This record gives sequence, C-alpha cells and structure tokens, in this order.
Amino acid sequence: MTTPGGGGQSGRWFPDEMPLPAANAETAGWWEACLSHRLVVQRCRSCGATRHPPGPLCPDCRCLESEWATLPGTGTVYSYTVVRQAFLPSLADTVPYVVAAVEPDGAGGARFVSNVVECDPEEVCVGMPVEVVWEDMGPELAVPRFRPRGTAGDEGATA
Amino acid sequence: MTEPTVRPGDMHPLPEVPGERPPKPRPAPLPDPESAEYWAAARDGRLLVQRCEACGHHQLYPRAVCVVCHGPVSWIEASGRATVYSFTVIRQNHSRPFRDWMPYVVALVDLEEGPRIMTNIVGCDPEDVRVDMPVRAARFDRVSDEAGLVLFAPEG
Amino acid sequence: MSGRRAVIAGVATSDYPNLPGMSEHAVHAQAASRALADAGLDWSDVDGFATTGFFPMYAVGVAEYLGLRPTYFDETNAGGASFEVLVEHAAYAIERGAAEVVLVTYGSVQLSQMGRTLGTGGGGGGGRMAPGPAVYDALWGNTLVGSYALAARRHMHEFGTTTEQLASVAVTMRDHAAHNPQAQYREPITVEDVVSSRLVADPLHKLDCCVISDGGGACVVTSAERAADLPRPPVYVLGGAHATTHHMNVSADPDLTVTAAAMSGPLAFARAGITPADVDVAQIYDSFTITVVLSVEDLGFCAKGEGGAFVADGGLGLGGRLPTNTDGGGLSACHPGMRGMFLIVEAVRQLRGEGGATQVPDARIAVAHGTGGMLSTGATLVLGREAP
Ligand SMILES: [Zn+2]
Ligand SMILES: [Zn+2]
Repeated sequence: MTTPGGGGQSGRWFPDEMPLPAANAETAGWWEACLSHRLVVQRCRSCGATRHPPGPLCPDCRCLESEWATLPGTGTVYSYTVVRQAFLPSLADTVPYVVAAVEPDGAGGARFVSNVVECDPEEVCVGMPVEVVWEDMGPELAVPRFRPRGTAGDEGATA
Repeated sequence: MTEPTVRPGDMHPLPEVPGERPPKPRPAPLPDPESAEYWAAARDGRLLVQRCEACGHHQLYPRAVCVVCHGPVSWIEASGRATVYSFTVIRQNHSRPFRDWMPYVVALVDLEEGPRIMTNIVGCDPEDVRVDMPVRAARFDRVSDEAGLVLFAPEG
Repeated sequence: MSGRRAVIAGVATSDYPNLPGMSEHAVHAQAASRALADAGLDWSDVDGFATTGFFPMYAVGVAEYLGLRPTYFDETNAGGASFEVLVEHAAYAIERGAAEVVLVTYGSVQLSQMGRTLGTGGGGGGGRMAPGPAVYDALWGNTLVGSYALAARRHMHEFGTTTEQLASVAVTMRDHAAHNPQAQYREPITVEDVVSSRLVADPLHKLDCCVISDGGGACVVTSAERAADLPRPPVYVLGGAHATTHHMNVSADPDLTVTAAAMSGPLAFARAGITPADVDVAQIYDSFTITVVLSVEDLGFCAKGEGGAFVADGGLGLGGRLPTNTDGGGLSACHPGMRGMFLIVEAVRQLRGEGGATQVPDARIAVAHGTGGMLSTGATLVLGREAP
C-alpha cells in the first residue's frame, strides 16, 4: 500500500488564532485516520453510499452501520472561492487564500471542504486535479489540505 | 461602623483572601438606551419607575413604550415602599458569587406604584421573610460605573 | 377544515436515560427510525419535518443530518411545550394539504454533556450581562428551580397548598415509573422522603424537581386517509392550542398561580369538542411538582386552588380521577430538557392500548400538555382513538 497523498507539511498554514476542529464520537474515526495521514470517507455498510461530514446515519438508506474507506488521496476541485478579506486580524498575511470543495477520487461523490495550497490562488480552477497534503497541527490533530497535482498529462478534461 | 455585620444571605461583596482566587463580583447589567437611566439612578441611590404620559400606567422593566396603551413614557422616582409578592430561599446555585452567599432570598416585590420587580431581601434572616411582608428599598449596590442594583429589607 | 384529518401514525422513544456514547443528533436519528418503523413508513415518505433545539435554524440542521429535504418544516420554540406546538402545527399542515407525512423528532444529551447541576446555576460569573429584556430578573442569583419555587410559594400563600400535597405528585410519578423498565428512578418513595429531601429553592426540595436525562422521541403525523393502510391504529389530533404569558422575567407575569394552560386548555378542548370530564388519561409536563398542580387547575380538571387536594387524593394515580404521566413522568422516568415529545408518545401508546402495567382501561381521549420556560408557555394537545 502506497502512502496516500503527497506527504506532510510542517508548521501551521493558518495563524494560531484559527480555531481548531474538535471531534466527537461520530467523527472521531475520520480524525483518527487523518492523524495517520490516511484520507478516508464514511461508507454505508448496507447500501455503499458515501457521506461527509461523518454521522451515524446513512442519508440514503438510514442504516446505522458504516465503515471508513481509504481513498487514494487524489481528487478534483468541484468549486472554490478566493478569500480576500481577513475575517480575523491575524489572517491579514494569509489572504488571499483558496477555500475549495474537493471531490476526492473514490469517494463516491462525497466532497470535503478544505484549502488548495502551494499554488497561486489565481491558478485554481474548477476541475483542477489536486492531491492531499497533510498538516500536522499537534500530536493529536492532522488536517488534510490539497495542492495541485501532477503534470500536464494528468490534466485531461477540465470543465 | 466600618465593617457591616455580615449575616447569611446579606450578599455583601466577599473579602479577598490572600492566596486564593479573587472573589467574583455580582454580575452587572450592560446599559442600553432604554435602561441606562434606570441603572444609573440605582447607582446613585434612587429607584425609578416609568410612567405613561398618555394613560398614567406605571411600569418596570423599562421599555420604549407603555405596555398597556403603547404611548410615550417618562421617569418618576419611586417611594421605595413595596410588599413581597413571593420569594424563595436559594440553597443550591453553583455559580459564583451566589454560591458563597447561600442561603439567600430571591423575591418578587410589588412597588407601591404598581410594578413588580425581582430583587433580594437582605437585612433579616432568610427564614423570617413572608409573603405580603412590607419591605423598602434599603440598599443600592454599585456594580459598575454605570449601574447599581436595588436590594430590599423589611420595613421598620 | 374540510375532510382531511390529521392523525399520529407512529411514535417512538429513543434509548434513555443515559446515553454517553451518542450525540444529540444521533438521538434524533434513532427515535426517528423507530417512529417511522412503527408507522410502517419509509424515510422517502417524509415531506415535512419539525423539531426544535437551542440554536437558530436547528430544524434545518437536523434535516440535513438526517438526509431530509422537506418542503414543510417548523422549529417553533416554546421550551418544554414545543413538541405539542409542533404537532399542532403539523396537523394544520396535513389538514391544509401542505404536507403528507410530517416527522417530528426530539433529541438531547444534556445529562452526558452538562451534568446534574442544570437548573441551579444562573446569574453568576461576575460578568456583564447583555442588555435586553432578559437581564432584569437575571441579576439576583435566581435559578430555574427558583422561578418555579416563587410560583409554589405564592400558590401556598393564596390557597393553603402544602409541601406534602406537592410531594404527592412526585410519589405518584414514582409509582408509575416502577412499571417502566427504562425509567431513571424506580424505587418507591413516600411523601416523607420528598419533604425531607434537601431543599433546593424553598419550598421546592430535590425530589420536587425533575430528573436530568439524555433521550428523545419522535412521532409521525399524516392524514387519516394515508394512515388507513398503515399497520398501527391511527390516533386523531382532535384539537390543539398554545399560549404564553411571559418569557425570562417571572416579574412580568401578573399572576404566578395561573399559567398559560388557562388559555391553551379551554381553547384546545373547544377545538376538539370535548370537556375536561371527557379526558381518560393525561400526560402533563412535570418539570416540578408545582407545574402539575398549576396545570390540572388551569386545564379545568379541578377549580383554581384545589390542585393540592386533587393530587394528594390520588387524583393522578391509576384509578384516580385523571391518571397522569403513566410512564413515570419527568419526575422519575426521563427529562432531557424539553420533555414534551415524551408526553405525546405516551398519550398515543395509551390510546392504542399499549400502556402495559399502567394502561388506563379503554382510554379513548388523552391530553398532552406541555409547559415551557419559567412557566412561560403552555401547549395542549387533545388526542383521540376515534375519528371526531
Ligand atoms: Zn446506506
Ligand atoms: Zn399607557
């Protein structure tokens, strides 16, 4: 099994003032996978439908049994926006940055909202191929962000 | 006297004890345009009541209009005389500073002018408070630069 | 309205009273799944959704979580009385043809999240209180229990109600809870146990106060036509009404001995075409013992001031004048914060004859009456086994 995604990223991408996510019993599995740099999606054991954010109930068949399916770590940008106004003073040096809805490959259409990093915000476009890059935010928290993927050969049909 | 006799339920500001967490003060209201005059008057030792300029109805809490006829209102000073409508002795409250004052009396008092307000009854044993007991505005505790709270005690 | 009649086709409670492993939303999901199964309906049948909680757009959020895209939704918040209001509204929507199947859910994990000191905090912290109407009663160290205590004290003063009479409400609820295997407390208690339990806010003792629980429930409201080929006997929503007297300031309530039930009760009974004498079984919000005494008076089951004698004479017990809270109520069985849904579920079970050891024989008309806030809201639902 290859290491999913594009490896790690050290240091905080956002300033320290940005609030950290908190897990509960329903979402812990997702965050635990993140901690070992495994991008996963929740999949219904009954009908196979995927969902995100994680929750105990399949929105398609309402089955309560689910599993965590490991994803390859690649995906495409479904939509995005460039944030240009700092909503916290400490974000002044981070803007402009990209918030994107990413459709990970193999996730059955489930989308993760994240950031596209390591590129000029002006270069991001819908359909852009991306790959996960992990940010270790502490001993108990890693967060997936995405960066442009691959060579021109990978970028087949962008919408 | 310099230091008042502190009895249970009198709700006096708590003394600071060296080496311990400082006591929390009573919460203070943040004034807004409708209430600023009311809180400021209580800070200065006066209890105000709103009077309707159209129908004469007296009301508290302060509102922009009369609750009966929705006419304009202005302030008058209350006599401070009141009777206890109902009361309870609080014996469980985990919030500071109140937990340090237990047991204390929370009461609804009917002002002579008509309005009913919530307050604390101090200056007597909590066990001695009764419904319909005459009380008077006896203590105005300054809780911030802008606000005071009026506490009541048994009449006489 | 015209021909369409609203019925409750399915009900369920979630697991309760202690759910440390569940989120609030998961409780909604569990109760909803069970209620739909009880109704013999599928999620895809649901086109209306109602719930309420402590955040704005709460119902919309729970709908998202459940994967619902309803074309009718409602999150009217009347505190503990909310679910009687939501079902009343759902019935109007069904009767008007604005919805076919309305799912109403409730979920809470307040015990696991906040613990057992709920209702006895308040006004603390030494901070600055935001301006607005809610500040005026908030400065005096009053608590939620204290607000109900103020009403109890005044009722005792005006009508001679005794603490022993109040205590008898808790004793009867515990008697009923003994038959409910899920109930949080089931060991029998006596009036002496209640009045000798610790005073929380005079005159209310610890055992005058409801339990603090996790849990939830759900019900499915649809039309009588739709319910005709469903497995459960339909329970008709015969009438409903709700009212409010004040919000956070009990000082703004002109008479603490009369609640919003005095408005909602007569209205609901008139809309249902019944009188209090027609009621076979009642589910009455019992946040505190005084809540029940005030409610039985205001709903017209006895005269104002006679509630103490009514409850002390066994009026709420099985075989009494008004068998009440046959599941053990909020005082003993389960109280997750807004208990109104439990009242509806138990009323429906009684009308279907599923009450088990606490079944009221041949129960045909049931009342569910919720009380919310600081005695601020009241909502009455009249339910019946037979078409009106
Ligand atoms: Zn499924
Ligand atoms: Zn007026």
